[in-house]
Amino acid sequence: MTTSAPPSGSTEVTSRAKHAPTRKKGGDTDRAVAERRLGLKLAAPAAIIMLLVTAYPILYAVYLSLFRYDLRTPDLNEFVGLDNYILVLSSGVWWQAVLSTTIITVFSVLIELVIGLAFAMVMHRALFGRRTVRTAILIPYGIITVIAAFAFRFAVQPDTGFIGDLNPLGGTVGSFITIILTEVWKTTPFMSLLLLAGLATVPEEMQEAAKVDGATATQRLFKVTLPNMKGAILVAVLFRTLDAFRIFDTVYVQTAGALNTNTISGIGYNALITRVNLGLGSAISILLFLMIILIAFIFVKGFKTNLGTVKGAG
Amino acid sequence: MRRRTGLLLAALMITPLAACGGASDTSASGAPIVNWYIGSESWLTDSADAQGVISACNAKANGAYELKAESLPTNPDSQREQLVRRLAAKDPSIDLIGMDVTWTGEFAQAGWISPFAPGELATVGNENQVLKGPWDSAQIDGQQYGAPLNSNTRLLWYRKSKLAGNPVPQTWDQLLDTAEKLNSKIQETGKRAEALVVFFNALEESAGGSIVNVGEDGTATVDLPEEPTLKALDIMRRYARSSAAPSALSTSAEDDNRLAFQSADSDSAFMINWPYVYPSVLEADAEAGTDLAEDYGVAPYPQVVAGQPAKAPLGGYNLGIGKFSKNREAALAAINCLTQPEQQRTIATTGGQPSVLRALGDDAAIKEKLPFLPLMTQQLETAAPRPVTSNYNDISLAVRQVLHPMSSIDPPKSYKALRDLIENALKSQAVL
Repeated sequence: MTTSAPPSGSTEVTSRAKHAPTRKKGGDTDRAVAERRLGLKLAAPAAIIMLLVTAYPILYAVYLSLFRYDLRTPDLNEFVGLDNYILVLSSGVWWQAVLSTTIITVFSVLIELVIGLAFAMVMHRALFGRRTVRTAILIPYGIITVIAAFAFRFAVQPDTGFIGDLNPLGGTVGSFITIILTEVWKTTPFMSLLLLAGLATVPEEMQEAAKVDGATATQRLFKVTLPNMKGAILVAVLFRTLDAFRIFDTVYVQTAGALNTNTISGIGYNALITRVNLGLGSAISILLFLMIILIAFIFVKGFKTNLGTVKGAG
Repeated sequence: MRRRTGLLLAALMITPLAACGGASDTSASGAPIVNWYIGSESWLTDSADAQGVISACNAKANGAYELKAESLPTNPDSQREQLVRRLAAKDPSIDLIGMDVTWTGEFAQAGWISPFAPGELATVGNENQVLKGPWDSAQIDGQQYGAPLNSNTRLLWYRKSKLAGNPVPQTWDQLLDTAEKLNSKIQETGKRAEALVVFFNALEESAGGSIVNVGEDGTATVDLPEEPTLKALDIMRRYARSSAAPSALSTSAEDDNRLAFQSADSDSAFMINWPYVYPSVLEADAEAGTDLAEDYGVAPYPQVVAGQPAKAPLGGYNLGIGKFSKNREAALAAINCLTQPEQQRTIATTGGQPSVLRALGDDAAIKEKLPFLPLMTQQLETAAPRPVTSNYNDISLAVRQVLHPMSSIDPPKSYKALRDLIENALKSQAVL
C-alpha cells in the first residue's frame, strides 16, 4: 500500500482519509522509521495484554467447543468435532433464544434511538441549565443494570409494585415489555450522549441556509441534521445493538429466562455456569460471537460509512 | 521499560495466587479450621433465644477443630452454582458442604465429595436410626456420600376460619373443588425454579411414576410412565387454570406464598409449603401482637390417587466432605457433633426443619415448637426423593423448561416434550 499511494499534488488525489498526504514518497526518512519503531514499542505491551486476555480465551473456547466436555462427568470427555454446534443449531431452545434476543434488541434500540435523539437535541439546544439537564439525563446510565432490573421488577410485581395485580412478568408480552422498558430507561442516556457528539458536528451554516430557503423544522431534521450525523448514528446504533444482543442481567433478574424470554447469553450461562457443560456452552458462546461479528459487518457495509471518517469528523 | 513490564506481569500473576492462599488452615489456637459452606440458616449462629449449632459444636470440640461458616447465597440455585464452580476447580478450602438433598448424587458422581466408610458416622451412618427419605437421598451407588443433617417436607396448610365448615381436603381434586367453591386461592409455587420440579416430582411419584430410573451402576434412564405422568400434568394444568390459582402464580416462590397466606386479609384458604412457615407466623404474631398462628391448620400433602397416601416432597440438607479438603478427620468430627440429637433439636426448634433421626420423630421439645411433628415424621418415611443422579440439574432445567408456565401445559404434548428433553438431558446433550 505504501508504494501505491499517489504522490501528493497529483491529479489523482482522492478525498478519502486513508490517502492523507503525510505518506512519504518512496522510502521513509530515518526519523519516520525511528518514530514508527517507538510507536510499535509503546503499543506492544497493550497489544500483548490484549492478546493474552482476549485472543487466548476465544481460541480456547473454540477448542473446547469441539469436545464433549462436562466437568461433572470427566471420564466421558472426548473429541466430538462439530457435534456440539449441530446440537445447538437443531435445538428449539436455541432458536427461541435467538428470536427473543432479536425482539429485545430491535425494540430497545429503536426506542432508544428515537428518545435518545430527542434528548440529544434537548441537550444541544438547552439555553440555560445546560449542565443540570445533561446530568439529569445521564443519571440512569450511572445505575448498575442489575439494580435497575430489580427496581423495575419490584415496581411491577403485585406485592411490591404500584400497578396493582397486573403482574406483567407473569405473561410473555408483559415480560418483554418490562425487559425492554428497563433496557430503554437504562441505556437511552448512552445513546443520546453519542448522538449529541454527532449533533455538534452538523454545521450551523447549513441549518441557517436551509432556514433561509424556507425548510420546515421536520425537513431540516430529515434533510440536513440526520444525513450529516449519519456516522454518529451508525456508531450509536452499532454499539447499542452489539450491547443489546448480549443482554443477560436484566432478563436474569426479571424472569430468569421464563416465558420464552431466555436470551442467547442466558442459555450460554445455563450451559457454562449452571451445568458446567463447557463443550456445549463454548459452542453457544462461539455462535453468539459469530453473530455479533455478522451484525457489525452488516451495519458497517449497510450504512456505507467509513468509521475512519467518523473519527475524523467527530 | 522491559523490566517494568515484567514486574507488572509478575504482579498480575501473583495477585490471584495470593487471594487463593488467603484462607488459613488452622485457627489462632492451633485447631484445624473446618470451612463449612452452607446457605444462611437461623440455626447456624447464636441468636437472642438460642445457641447456634456452630458455637455449640466448637465448645464441645475442645480444640479438635473449629467450625467456621462460609455463607452461600440465599437462593438454592445460586448456592449450587458457587459450590459447583469451586468443586470443579478442586478448591481445597471446601471442607464441609451443606448440600441440598438433590446435589448429593451430582457431587458424588462427579467425584467432588468423598464417601463415608462404614462406622465413620456416629448417629446418621445407621440405617435403622435415620428416616427412610433422608437416608435414601444420601446413598449413591451403594455407598454413603451424605450425612443427613435435617429433613424437610411440604404440607397442606389451611386457614381454619376460611374453611366455612368444609372438611379438610385429602386429595388434589378435593382441594381444588373446595377452593373453587369457597372462591379462595391455593398458594403454591409456580415460578420457573427448582420448586416447580419439587411440585411435579411429588405429583408424579404420588401417581405411581417417577422421572428417571437409576440402575445399579448409577446410569439413569427416562421413566415417566404415561398414565401417572398425564395425571400429574392434568393436576398442574387444572390448578393453574382454576380460579384457585393466585394471579402471581407463574412468578411466585415459597416465600411469596408464605407472605400471601400469612397476611391478615389473605384471599387464600390453602397453601402447600415447608414447615418453616409455622415458626415464621409465630414470629410475626409476636412482633405484631396478632394471633394468626391460632388460625393455621395443617394436613398431609394431598393425595393424587384417592385412598393412596401421597409421596410428599423431600427437602433438607446432607453434609458432605469435599474431596480436596485437607482436614477430612476434623470435618468428620464436626459432622458427628452436628448430627447429635442436641443439635438436631436446635435445628428443628429454631428453623422448623425436622430432624432426620427416628428417635426424635416424636420428641417433646420439638413438638412444643412444631405441634405437627408426628405428621411430618410419617410423611418423611414415604417421601418422594427427586432423582439421585449426576445429571439431576439438567433434568431439573428440562422440567422447568417444559412445565413453565403451568397454565400452558397441554398434557399429551407436554408429556412428549418432557420425555424428549429429559432423554437429551441425561446424555448432557440438551440445550436448556
